Amino acid sequence: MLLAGLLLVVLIIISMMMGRYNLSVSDVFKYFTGSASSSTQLILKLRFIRIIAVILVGAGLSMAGATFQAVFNNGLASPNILGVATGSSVGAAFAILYGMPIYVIEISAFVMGLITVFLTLLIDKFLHSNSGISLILAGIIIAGLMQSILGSIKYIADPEDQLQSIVYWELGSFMKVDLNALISVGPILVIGIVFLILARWRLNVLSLDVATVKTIGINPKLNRNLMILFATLLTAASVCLCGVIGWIGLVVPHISRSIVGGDNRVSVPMTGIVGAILLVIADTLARSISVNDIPLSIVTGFIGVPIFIFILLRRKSSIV
Amino acid sequence: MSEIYTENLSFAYQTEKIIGNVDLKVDNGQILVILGPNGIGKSTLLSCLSGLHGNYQGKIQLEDEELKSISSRELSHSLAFVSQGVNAKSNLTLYDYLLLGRSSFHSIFSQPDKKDRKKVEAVLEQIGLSQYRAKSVSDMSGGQRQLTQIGRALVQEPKLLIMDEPTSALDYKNQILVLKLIKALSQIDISIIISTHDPNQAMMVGDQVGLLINNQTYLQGETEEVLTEQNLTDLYKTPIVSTYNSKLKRDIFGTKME
Repeated sequence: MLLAGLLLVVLIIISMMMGRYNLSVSDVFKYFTGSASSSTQLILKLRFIRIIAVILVGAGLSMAGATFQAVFNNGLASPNILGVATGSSVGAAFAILYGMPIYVIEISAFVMGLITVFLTLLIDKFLHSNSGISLILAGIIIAGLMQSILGSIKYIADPEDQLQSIVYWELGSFMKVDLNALISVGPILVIGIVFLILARWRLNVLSLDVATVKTIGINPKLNRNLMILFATLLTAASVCLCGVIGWIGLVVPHISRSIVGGDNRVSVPMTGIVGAILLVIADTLARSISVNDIPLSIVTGFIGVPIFIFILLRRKSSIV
Repeated sequence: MSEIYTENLSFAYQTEKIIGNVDLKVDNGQILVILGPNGIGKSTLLSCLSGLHGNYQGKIQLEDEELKSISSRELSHSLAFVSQGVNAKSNLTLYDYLLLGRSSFHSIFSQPDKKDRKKVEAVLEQIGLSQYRAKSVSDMSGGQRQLTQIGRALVQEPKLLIMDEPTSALDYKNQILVLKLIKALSQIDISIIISTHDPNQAMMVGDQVGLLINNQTYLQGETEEVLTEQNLTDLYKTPIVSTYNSKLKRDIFGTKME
């Protein structure tokens, strides 16, 4: 854990150095001591704000994924596969369509994220199957519905202004993240992350069957819903800040479990750090390897897919 | 003093009555073994007694309190339940799995403390799995997993332990291991209710035996009084004979195959 934390600090420094204008380590240190030149100070300030947002989203999305995987006892559960991310995008797109301020966009994304989880769980219940696949199937169905709604919103959105903003959410990018956006969304991400870190032991017991959880003296419904609520809050806040980012919420919990084991007391904080590390790498690549920012989901896909295949091949037990 | 007793207990799924007229009683440190054919409602009865089915009719009294009036948190500190089957899917190590039994002693934001660890250590000794503390539960054998389930229940520090067919999925050696543990637990004043299909197991460990004959009839009494050829033949609707084994110093039950 300590090593992962140190790696993250090193990556933050490297990431601040990289970009359209490459800077040196001493420039970065000068920035933190306030002795850099004004132009360097400005560039590094923008990069630092962006990196903070990347860390919060990387940790938040990964921990949301770990939470969904624990409460549904399903290794395929993630904000994207359950449709929560697409649902939150629909909420955000609706609010953008009506020209709402950022806090309304946040609330709208959160509410639609929750509605999406509810619909996914409802369909899973109707499928009357105990296999973990039915939950994933329900998520795919609802994500498909949300995708259609999003398509409809895009169809009627003003192509000059609104459409561009909506497409930005869909592809995922930190390009537009500034201090105002970070101040309005960052605290929600911090609250969600802190909650899940504090409640991480409870996630262990929620992985058991409902009858056992009850006889252990824990209210399974209340606790499960609380965890889903905060995981959805993290997903919605992430979508508000940078749009939909694929793979992180699915793959990172598996990576951290393969490093520190299945105990959520250790693996949830580890998931947060690994998620932050991966997204800092992905975002640094997205803004460094081309003149224009590459949409983040493209980069996370190229990183996430091979890692996930590797994890699947190494597994001894069933993933769902 | 009775640890648990019921008066005219019955339970129905919608309009279908599953169990009825159950007057059951277990005293401190006693073992009650419930016998009955498949599908007769043994699991339903145990679920009612464990507080999992709140909508039963009649009365379930745990020590001095009506079961329905006890919160699930309080209940978990005096009663623990081990459900049927040993296929628990968990990536946790044995040690971390046993710690789960301490969850209701803490708030949602708490972490296990020294007292919890001490209790887990003691239970690891009790169930004889100390050397496997770091082993993943999913990598354990059937017998070890069943002992793990019982261990998780014991970590709750229950006065009453209810187990649904704790030996059904085990080989003979592991069945005996679990039955010996059950006997040892009763000797430290833990009351125990188990269900089983095997009257020989009831003879081995039961202080009392309850026969769930149909959804109207439950018969309970001293093991030797209840476990008769006639009662078992009526219960399983197949001829059952008994013979006294002087080496084992108890009756053994079986059926002629011709």
